[in-house]
Amino acid sequence: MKPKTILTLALCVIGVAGCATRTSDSEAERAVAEMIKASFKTRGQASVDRLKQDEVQALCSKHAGELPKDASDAIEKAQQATIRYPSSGKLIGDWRQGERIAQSGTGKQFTDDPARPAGGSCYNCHQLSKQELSFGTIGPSLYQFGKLRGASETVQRYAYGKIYNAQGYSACSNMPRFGHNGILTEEQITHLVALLLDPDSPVNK
Amino acid sequence: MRLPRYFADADRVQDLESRLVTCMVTLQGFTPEEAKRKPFSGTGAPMIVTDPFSGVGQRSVMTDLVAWIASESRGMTIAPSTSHPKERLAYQAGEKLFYYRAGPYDFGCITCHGEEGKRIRLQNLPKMTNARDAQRAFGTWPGYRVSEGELRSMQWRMWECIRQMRFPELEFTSDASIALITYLAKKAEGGTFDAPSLKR
Ligand code: HEC
Ligand code: HEC
Repeated sequence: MKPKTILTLALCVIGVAGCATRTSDSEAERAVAEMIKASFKTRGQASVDRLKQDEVQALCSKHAGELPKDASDAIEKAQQATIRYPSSGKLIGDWRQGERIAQSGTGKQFTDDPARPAGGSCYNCHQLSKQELSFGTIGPSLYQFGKLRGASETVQRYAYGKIYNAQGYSACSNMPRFGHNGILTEEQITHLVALLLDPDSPVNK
Repeated sequence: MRLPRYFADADRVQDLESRLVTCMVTLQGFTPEEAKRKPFSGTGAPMIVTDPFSGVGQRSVMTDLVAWIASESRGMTIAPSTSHPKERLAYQAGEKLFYYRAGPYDFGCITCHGEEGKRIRLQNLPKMTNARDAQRAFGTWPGYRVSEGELRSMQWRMWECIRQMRFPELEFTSDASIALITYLAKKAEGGTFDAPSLKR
């Protein structure tokens, strides 16, 4: 054993501070709160307010991967209640516009123009049409979504609601809450519903 | 390869970039603002206005220095120290930041780097709690990014992922950036440092 190791052990045995392998959790919490305040600066549309967590974000961060069942049920219930359906009642828009929105990965970054509408970045995480080979895999494949599930009113409401607030159906989902967090408009979401459900959409070919 | 680690003179855990800032200020007479003025190539004002090696000031001397110094550690084992309480605190804070979800997209590092074998579009995403993935992710920065034609540092990588998370801008050499890098270094412990590398 090296002399230094022996010394460290000796200090540990007599209880000198610093031998604990972990700092107390509350100390780490305080350090993080300080860092959140001091390490970021507002740039363009991305203001430092964005670092303030809402209740759902705080719970999902704290229980990453192991959210208790009752907390998960409570989140889904509360998040479903946030979903706003279009007043026209029409949930299916134009799949061609939906495809453009699904392809676009811009929006809400400090390098993006806030005057331009955000995209949905759906292809970043999902397979959708068969032609687009550059797709991500964080989410499941949505290829043939409408062909497999049909386009009944229930399915339409689910697809719209899921895009509006994914956590209404799956607490702490990795999918952004596009409508709830003001990324996409109600109209943009109806175009995406069309992309998923219209029989003519490349998703269902 | 022992960075980030605690430096008594700065009384702070430092990564390579923040250490260089300290040296430039205490030994070379720069102000902290001058030392941090051009953290990455293509952004900010030139660090040394009449730099003979940097043409019109597009390149970051900071990044060039980082690449050269990192190359001196090539082949070494990644062995971050956790003997100082501030090193342990930085690691634990970095871990909490890694799981911290916020912003309009609810993103945290964990969203994209928490599962094995996932990708964004066609870009493979390392799972940072998996030692082999973390060793590759940590041990290959700084790197030359072919897609940009630019040399990039680990501080840039943090800045860029934070931008894509829709967070506000991460300050160069900030405590949060160093805590995140400390967390990654610990996850990569035992791997071989293999930078500068070639990146997508
Ligand atoms: C950051 C990654 C990410 C992005 C971006 C994303 N999703 Fe998802 N999505 C997921 C994940 C993960 C799931 C599975 C977990 C869940 O159901 O919430 C999912 C699930 C879904 C489902 C439910 C699938 C089913 O079988 O019921 C639909 C529909 C969906 N996404 C549509 C979209 C659309 C449309 C977009 C673009 C506006 C989009 N997603 C953007 C990650 C993402
Ligand atoms: C929205 C998804 C996303 C989030 C969230 C994200 N990253 Fe990344 N990260 C990426 C992508 C995409 C790459 C590039 C992969 C490539 O080029 O192959 C990457 C690359 C990296 C790399 C370099 C990996 C390598 O092998 O070169 C590191 C390190 C990293 N991220 C750390 C982080 C940290 C720390 C956070 C949180 C502050 C974070 N990322 C958040 C998407 C993300």
